[in-house]
Amino acid sequence: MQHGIGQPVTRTEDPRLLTGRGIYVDDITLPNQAYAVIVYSTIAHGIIKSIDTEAASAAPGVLLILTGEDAKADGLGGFGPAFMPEDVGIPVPGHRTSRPILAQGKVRHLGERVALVVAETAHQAMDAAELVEVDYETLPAVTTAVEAVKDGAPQVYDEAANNTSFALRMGNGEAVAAAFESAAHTTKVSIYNNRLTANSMEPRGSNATYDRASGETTLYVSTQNPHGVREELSGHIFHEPETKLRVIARDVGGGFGMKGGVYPEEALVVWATRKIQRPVKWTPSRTESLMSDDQGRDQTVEAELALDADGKILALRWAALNNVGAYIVGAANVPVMFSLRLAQTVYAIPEIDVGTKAVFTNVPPTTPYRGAGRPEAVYIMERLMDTAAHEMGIDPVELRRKNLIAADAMPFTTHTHYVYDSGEFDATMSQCVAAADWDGFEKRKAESEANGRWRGRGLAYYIDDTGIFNDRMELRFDPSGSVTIVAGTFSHGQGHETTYPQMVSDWLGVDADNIRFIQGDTAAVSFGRGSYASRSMIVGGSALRYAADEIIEKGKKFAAHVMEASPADIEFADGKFVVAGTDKQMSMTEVAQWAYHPAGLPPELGIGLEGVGGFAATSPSFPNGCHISEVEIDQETGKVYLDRFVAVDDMGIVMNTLLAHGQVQGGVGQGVGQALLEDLQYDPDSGQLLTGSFLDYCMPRADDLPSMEIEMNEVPCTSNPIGVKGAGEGGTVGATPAVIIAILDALRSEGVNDIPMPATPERIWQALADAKKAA
Amino acid sequence: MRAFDYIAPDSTESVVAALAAHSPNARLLGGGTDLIVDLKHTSNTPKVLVDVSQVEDFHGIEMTDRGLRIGSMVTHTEIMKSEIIQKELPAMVDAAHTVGAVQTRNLGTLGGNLVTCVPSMDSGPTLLALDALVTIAGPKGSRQITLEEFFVGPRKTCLEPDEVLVDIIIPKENVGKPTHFLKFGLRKGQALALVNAAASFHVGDGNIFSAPRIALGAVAPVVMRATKAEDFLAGKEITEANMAEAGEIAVTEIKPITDFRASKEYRRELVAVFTRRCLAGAYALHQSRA
Repeated sequence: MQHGIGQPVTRTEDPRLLTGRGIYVDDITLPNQAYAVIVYSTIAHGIIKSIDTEAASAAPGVLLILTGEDAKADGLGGFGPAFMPEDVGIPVPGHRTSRPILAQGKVRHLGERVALVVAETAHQAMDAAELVEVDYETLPAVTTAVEAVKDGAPQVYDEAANNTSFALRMGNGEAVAAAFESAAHTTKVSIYNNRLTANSMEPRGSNATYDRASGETTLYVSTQNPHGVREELSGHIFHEPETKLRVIARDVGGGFGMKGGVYPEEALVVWATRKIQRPVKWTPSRTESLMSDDQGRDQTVEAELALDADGKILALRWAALNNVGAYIVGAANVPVMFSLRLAQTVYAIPEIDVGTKAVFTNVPPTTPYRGAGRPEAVYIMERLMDTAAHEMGIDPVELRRKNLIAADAMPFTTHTHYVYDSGEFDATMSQCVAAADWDGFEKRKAESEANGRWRGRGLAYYIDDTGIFNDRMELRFDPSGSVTIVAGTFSHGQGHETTYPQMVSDWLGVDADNIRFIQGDTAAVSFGRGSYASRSMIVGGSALRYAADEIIEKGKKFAAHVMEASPADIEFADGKFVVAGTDKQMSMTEVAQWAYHPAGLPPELGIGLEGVGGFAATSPSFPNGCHISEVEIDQETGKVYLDRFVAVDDMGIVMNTLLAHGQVQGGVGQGVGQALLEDLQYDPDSGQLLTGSFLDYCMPRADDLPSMEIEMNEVPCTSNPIGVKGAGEGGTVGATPAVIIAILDALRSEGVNDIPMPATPERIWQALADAKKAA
Repeated sequence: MRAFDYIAPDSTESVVAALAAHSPNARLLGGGTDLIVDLKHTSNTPKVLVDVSQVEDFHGIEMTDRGLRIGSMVTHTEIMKSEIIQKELPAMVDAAHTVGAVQTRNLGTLGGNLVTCVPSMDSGPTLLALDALVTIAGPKGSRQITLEEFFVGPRKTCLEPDEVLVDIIIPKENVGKPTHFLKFGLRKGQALALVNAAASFHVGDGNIFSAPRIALGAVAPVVMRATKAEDFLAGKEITEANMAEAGEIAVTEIKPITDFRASKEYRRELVAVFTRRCLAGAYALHQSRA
């Protein structure tokens, strides 16, 4: 079947998106539209002494100016964390913060929202915003976690000593200490996992309109989680029933975790439209995005591995600092906790002792960014494995092979109580080594050297924990016999409009052209949790399977009624209900049409054919894979050329190979970006953003990436009914260590054993110079 | 975008007249790759926009008695597609190719790149290495100066508010001169240059450097010539050692800065490397033609 599960079906949404017919939030302009501009904090830390809005209020076209004092007067709340450690059973309460929608009394990072200006046009709002005078008393700022925990560092919150919200530790410290005592070999690495930002192709944006007739407000927003936006705004900001607010997300141009939460601007436009009773739109510039989007990673780690003389791992120990920025908001604690929970990754490690502290600084909040904690864990582990292999003179593939959790050990319970349901780590690694022409490396290396370039290769084995919470999917036939998927998940680039219909077509035997897809409107989708943590196919796909099962069961009853048979005698296969042992049959479409018959239906069957499925990822799924990269490095300039990239991934059963490969490619691109180019830099003294435009926040382009070779080793997941594992993040998790390890391999002959991320040409040049000096 | 007056003169004289009438409140609109962005996103809007795209004198690439004339409104894409430039001055194609992205190159003009006069401009070094001249029109008529004189400082040329850049001329004797351009940025495209370099020389009898030129960008307040390195090379035999030596001399002539993008030490290293590589590239071009 052309549209069946596993087929490389091209994306239904692409013709629309590629020809400019997509509707992104800034494409929505409503009658009588007004425009909002934010006044941001121009300093990283300080006390707001006064805000003078008089001149701005008198500026042409200005309709409304709001400040933190107004928010306080209106009783509006702030944004807190989705959960703190104490909320998930960890008995160490942390310092809990509330991020105001507009700063009240104090600003804690550059780009914190201080005032809102609404005017007839965006330019009038922009001009008026420049007239808002904010008088600050500047306080000393701290931008790095390492500095922030020191005694005497500027305090972001008086209540959080040493800027520490909470400390977490997992594992067995005593046993690990003993293992290190007795180890034949120990390996140490110091890592800074650089601060990043998503830079989705469509920036955030919002537009809200208040309907005077119904009293309902509609918010159009670029988000990964429309229902989550409604829940948060209604529950925590406006303190009102969710029925007052409708949230709609049309096409969303990427999120990568950054749009998983709720932002002040979304509350501000809702608040403003209710005040002026006109639609209020906010569209940020790229610089505003770089300054005000929640950011990712920023973990500093000291890590050690203890091994016996044969290279068997005895224990893993690391201590980290997670720079959570000025506020802990939304899912901010996900990366902090998930890096700990995934610490042992794919290895059978007898004992672990891992810990981190969530540290406040005067930079924007850190929230999940593609991978969210898993890249940190895997980067630490793979750097340790690679370093240990070289120190011990053991082939890096061999060292991993000695320590990988065996396929027959599944299900495997980790020290942090994850249960890996399935995985063939050794076989997947072997497949990748073969695909990468591992044995042809020396020849390529010699050729590179003849051209003045060093060549290195890096292997990384990653694992990811994907899928979280429950979700709800609906299938609704209409009287014509066509079917609508109503998704609780939310596709913001993943291609659900293609894949879900592909699955339903396969399961129900309905032509994909007769399947409609709805998502992202709280009025049309009764409930949903959006998409993040690679959850959609696991949770949404499984729920969809159950919805399809319900359709089939109901359909059997309708078919039995129409064909005058017992429901027990109806079989469903290939889109047809058949009375067993006869040639009597009805298609799914015919049955659906019958279900809407105006008369003659047995009352117990109800009217219409609909199915609702729910699924909860009580255990995450664990996609994993092996990535191998080869780099060339210019011996004079230090510039890295990524020459080859091979990935073999186990994403469980693949629904659409084309889209799955696309996820790997895009993920690898982002992982390479972290390894080579991307870096949010703040001036350490002033907390000013140095990389405030794409001139300096440098993402890879297509021509910076080689043509990737991607293979799958499909090992079905056993913790969901369709055997899938999350596909969205593994590329990012695996690529970063694979690239850095390749760089270190290339430079090892020159005495270089460490390189910070991003490994820019100058940093490599500097490392070479330092190694030469030390030699 | 805020309101402004828009005029589109069709001759150099009427552009000059418009500038005379409206400066300093007028801005010239060429390809618009910088200006239109400014108009949208900054509050500093000019009162009058003088669109020079309709002026015939500002267009065209052709050989004249004096050399290769390139109108200031010629886009980077036109340069890349020009047969005469592809054949005679492929370094200019390489330089044009490093400007922005396809869309920027389709709209952005050579003149625009030069008048913006940022130290990291991609068009400057090659033209400087080719002793390019520029024609400037103003109320007192036309004048021609060297490109080197044209560049005054960061974002500052010698253009008066009532003057306009008409065209760029590569002197006849340099059309076909072996030249090579290299840009070093963090990634392959759409990146700010950490160093731009161009080198050009004729191969004299006895395989010697004749009329050597070395031009460097992003390592001083303006795009500059490394004249000491040029003097060193003039008349010397073309060898790898001399190319390397020229690179080391060029390092002594630059004024790089340390900022979060790169240290001056690293920029110096890059200048030595890329000066040498540009010289080698120009020589390789000569050999491939022979």
